[in-house]
Amino acid sequence: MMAVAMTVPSAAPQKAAVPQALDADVLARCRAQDPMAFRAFVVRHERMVFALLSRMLGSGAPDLEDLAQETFVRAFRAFPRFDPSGTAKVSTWLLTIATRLALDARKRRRLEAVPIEDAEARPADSTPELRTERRQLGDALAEAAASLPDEQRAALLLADVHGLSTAEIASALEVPENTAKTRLFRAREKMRAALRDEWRTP
Amino acid sequence: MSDEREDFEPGAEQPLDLSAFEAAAPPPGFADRVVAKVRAEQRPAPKRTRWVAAGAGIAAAAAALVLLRARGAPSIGETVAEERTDVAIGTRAKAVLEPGAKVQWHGDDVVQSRGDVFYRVEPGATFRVHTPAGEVDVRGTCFAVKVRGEEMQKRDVKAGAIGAAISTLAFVAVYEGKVGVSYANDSLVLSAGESAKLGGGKVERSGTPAEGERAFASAAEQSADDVPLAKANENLAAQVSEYKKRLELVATKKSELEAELAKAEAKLAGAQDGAVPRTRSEYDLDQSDWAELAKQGQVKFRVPCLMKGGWTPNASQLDKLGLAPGDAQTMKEAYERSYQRVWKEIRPMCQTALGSSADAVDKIGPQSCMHLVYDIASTTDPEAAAEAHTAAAEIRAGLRPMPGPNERVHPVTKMFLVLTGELPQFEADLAKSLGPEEAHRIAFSDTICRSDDRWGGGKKREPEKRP
Repeated sequence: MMAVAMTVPSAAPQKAAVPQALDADVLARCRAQDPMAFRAFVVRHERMVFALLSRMLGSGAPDLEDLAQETFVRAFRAFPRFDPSGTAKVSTWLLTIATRLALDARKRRRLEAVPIEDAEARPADSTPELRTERRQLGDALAEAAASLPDEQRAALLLADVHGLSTAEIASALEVPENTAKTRLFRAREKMRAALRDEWRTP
Repeated sequence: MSDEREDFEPGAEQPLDLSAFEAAAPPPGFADRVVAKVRAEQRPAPKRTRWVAAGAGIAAAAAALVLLRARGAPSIGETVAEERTDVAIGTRAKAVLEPGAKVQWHGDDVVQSRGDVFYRVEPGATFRVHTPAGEVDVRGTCFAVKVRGEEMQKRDVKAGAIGAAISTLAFVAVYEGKVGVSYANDSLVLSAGESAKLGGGKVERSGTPAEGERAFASAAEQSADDVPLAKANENLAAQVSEYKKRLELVATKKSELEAELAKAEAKLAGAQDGAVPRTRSEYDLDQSDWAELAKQGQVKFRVPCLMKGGWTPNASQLDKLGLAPGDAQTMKEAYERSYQRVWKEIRPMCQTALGSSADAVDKIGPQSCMHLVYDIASTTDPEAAAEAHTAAAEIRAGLRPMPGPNERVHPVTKMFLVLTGELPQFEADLAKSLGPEEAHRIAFSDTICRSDDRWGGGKKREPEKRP
């Protein structure tokens, strides 16, 4: 990989946009198994689910859409049991379903992450140079993330992309909270180490 | 395993910025594929105890929907939901009505008089929802409308809205796409994730759907506690004054009608030796009712649900109907025979209208065929179709003779004669097992599966004897 003089900021990272909360009416309708309301729910959360699954499995994974569909179908089935007044946010609940499906898929098929080749530039990167650097950084992140054990990668994505707390990650991964903390720490440490030689990480 | 040790304290560990880590975006149509999948998994929906749909029904074949859309079929209907009810409105909208909600529609024009309705509209020409408090225009989106307060009584929406807008609140929340909401000259455009409140002659943004709904619930509660006119905003004084005048006119008219009614009742009581006048279902029509409908260019009828395998009431419905468990089979068989009678007549008409094979018509089914027959006749010769429409009402009113079996009759007239004549046959069929009184009671009960339809669009004219 070619070295590029660019830092990977470690403070105040940008979190993935959290889908705007759906109103109680739509959630109530989803709980009542109303497919039309559920469509609104899918539209609101599909980007988030694809983001998690593609980063877990590689954006070129052939069954990405199947897994995303399965995530929502499971959510639909489970909606009557989802308690909107409980502690779990609906987005966290959905990410939990997607994470478990992704981990199962990795275990079952020994999927290798597919390198991201056609990543698009973010709008903020307006010059060709910045876009190239951004793409290279993205490739490096994808490669480093692909080298992580599945559970560590899941912890990293849930925390640093989707903003879940360690308690929520622990619940999603069905492990004690300290284990979730450890996995997250190890994941960040390995990511920094993997990028350190070629990218100036602090 | 060292990575799994639990004595680690994260301390000052900082999160990473992974924003450059690209992710795949959802492919187009993903949400629709998910919804198709969950729909396929759902068990068949329970039969509605009340369904009224002059438009293409939920069960209509996709082929029929395509035909209806291609021909721009008029679709007219009305539904009052007694339980959560799915309704297909025209060819490109679906609505879920909560109990108590009421909608009437004519093509892409919907009047939502009361209650909560969630709409999904496929892209196309403007689809409009009229509420007493204002109007909602959409071109393809997913949104909810809630109406509280005075119900809009008139089919003439604009006239009805003048008074009702003062005391009625409506709430619109948009989940996909964009919609325009308006009342008089006040209007705004809402995008997905936004909501608005309509009422008191104003249209106001109310934040996200969740925020808006909370504010709306509070305002609706307040409104319910208020006397609408006394609490009306001062700026609406002129409208309130007009409203009062209208009420006075209505009160005068009501007094006149009450006097006429008292006279008629006295006359009837004398004629029947003191018998109490019969309370009839609005679909239990006599010749004077038909004469009035003919005057308005309308045809109105109740038809038992047209289901090939018949409709079998469940235990709760049998209980409501006051029938014994053994009567379920009687009902089922009566429905089967009703379907066969109607389909035997409508099927060849549909085949002729479409120029299609019998197989194709069978796939479309009676409900959609009715609309196709009407639509094709209206498209071919609107004047003749409107004439034929009213002719059916005039025949039922006794103003025209019933056509003979070999007489050439316009398909619209023939179709309406079939539909308006089916309930008496169904009732007579039930009477063989249940007796005439029970059969009559069951036929006009609101618990049975049926379609209550009113078709406008005929020629309006004063009733008179015609050859």
